[in-house]
Amino acid sequence: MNCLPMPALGVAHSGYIPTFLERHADAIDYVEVPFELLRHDPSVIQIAEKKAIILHCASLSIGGTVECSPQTRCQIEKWVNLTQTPWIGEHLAFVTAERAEAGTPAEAYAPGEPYNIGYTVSPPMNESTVERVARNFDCYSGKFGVPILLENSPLYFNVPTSTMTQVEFINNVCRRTSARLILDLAHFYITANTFNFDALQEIEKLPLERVDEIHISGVDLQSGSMWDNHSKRAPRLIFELLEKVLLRASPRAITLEYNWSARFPEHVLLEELSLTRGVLAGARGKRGQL
Amino acid sequence: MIAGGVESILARSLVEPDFLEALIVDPKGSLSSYSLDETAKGEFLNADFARIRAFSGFISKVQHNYLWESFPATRKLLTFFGVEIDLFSRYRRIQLSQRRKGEERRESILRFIEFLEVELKSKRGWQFRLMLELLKHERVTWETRLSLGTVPEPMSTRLSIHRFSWAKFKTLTPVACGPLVVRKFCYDPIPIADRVVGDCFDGKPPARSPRILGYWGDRSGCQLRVLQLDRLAAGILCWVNGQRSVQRIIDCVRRPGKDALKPRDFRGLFEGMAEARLLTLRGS
Repeated sequence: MNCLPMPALGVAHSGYIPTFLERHADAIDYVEVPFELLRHDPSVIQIAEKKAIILHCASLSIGGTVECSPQTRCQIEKWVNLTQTPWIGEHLAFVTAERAEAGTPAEAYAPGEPYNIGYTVSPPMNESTVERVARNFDCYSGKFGVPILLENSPLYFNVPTSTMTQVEFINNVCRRTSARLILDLAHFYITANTFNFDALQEIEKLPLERVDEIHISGVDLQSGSMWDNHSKRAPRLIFELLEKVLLRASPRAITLEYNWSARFPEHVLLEELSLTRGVLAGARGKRGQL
Repeated sequence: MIAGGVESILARSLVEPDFLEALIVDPKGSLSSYSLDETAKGEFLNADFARIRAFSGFISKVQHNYLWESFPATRKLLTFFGVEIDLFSRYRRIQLSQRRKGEERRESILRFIEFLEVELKSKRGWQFRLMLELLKHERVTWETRLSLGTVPEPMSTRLSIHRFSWAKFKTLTPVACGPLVVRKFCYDPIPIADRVVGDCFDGKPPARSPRILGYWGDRSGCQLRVLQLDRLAAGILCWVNGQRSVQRIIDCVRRPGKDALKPRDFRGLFEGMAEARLLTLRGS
């Protein structure tokens, strides 16, 4: 990443990306690859022969109460070394949780094991969680030889016992730690929609000077809510948010996360890359004038 | 309140659909075994469980992203018509119950598409009919591709069939060269699927355009071929099972009194299919 442009422009890995790279090798600077995918299919590392890799992760459960297992930490470390990633992106969320004293369920999926949701979920946003995240962050951040970037989660409902907004929560985590951030603009837009606030105004209140990576993807309106959708192009507002963020932030990487559909149309990805470059150029121009 | 109690309850509601339903019906009773303080209990009693249920459906939806590989048009239309979250919320229980059994990917796909077929058939409106048609097309495409590697090659007994007398010809047994399935559609699924996958679908009901398509796993080229068939060709291929003779198939296809064709008139069709290597004709 050291010799890559600032910010570098990349895409999240999906089944269509190797073919895309064969045809448009110069269209991107790096590929973001989930640790969980590498663990499941180590051959994905072959992408490193063509492009730099940024490692993304959903296994540390940094916002949770269950410690990530030593085996998983060991595997993350192995993939950090093999990919030579400049950092690990991780969600400000939890994926596992303790089986509290709630009696025995009729059919235990994995008796004795913690609940494994298989998907990252925002924890309650309160002082106690801020402390826990800070503890976990301090514990993990020295383990892998590269920094851990924390990514804002999308909020789909009010998590019971939350006492602060997500913006306040992220600010508090940043005050308590040296963490740098991934700002997922679609997640932020979803949270704004769920809690009915103006995303363009609120985004200014985030610690944007801590943002090292930005994520771009689509959203969906279904069943009365807005949902993350990495198989759909980003709406206009995402690019308006990007423009606003770029006036203050100096991210090192911008990742287009269109990785849910192995059949994502190539022309749409190219259009989105071009749109992102256009916003970047526009923001550079505006910053130059300031 | 025990540490992580909130996360535990949330996690449990997302991986145990029965617990989530119990929370919706009787939140107080369902939470009684948790050591929550009054504030936490009060907030859980007022939690938006409908949204949590939708979120669990969303998780299922994301965990089925592999369907995009073989069912891209179906998946895209489910998103387009805004029915995915509800659908996957209803499917969540089935998905989680199978997870315990360590199901193979192929079985997971089959289980989901069978669920989806039932769901789509139970709904009214052209959108659901269209999704059902595209699902049918993508399912048979997927199944034919899968069986390309499993259906055994018929014994090669290339006969000089043109020289056979009619009496001899009608005793021959046609055998499909590779997996072969025939399906009827009320829309032409191929251009519609292309538009949907290419982000060019305008959301308007497409014109009805009945089609009979044959899905043939062509071993010589190791690829799937989709053939547009007329009623007679489709009829013949539907009855080919490697055991029925030419005569028997003609008896099944021909509608006496309705078709002007005589049994001998079918010979050209069989010969054409054999020349195209769609069928091989075996002697007794």
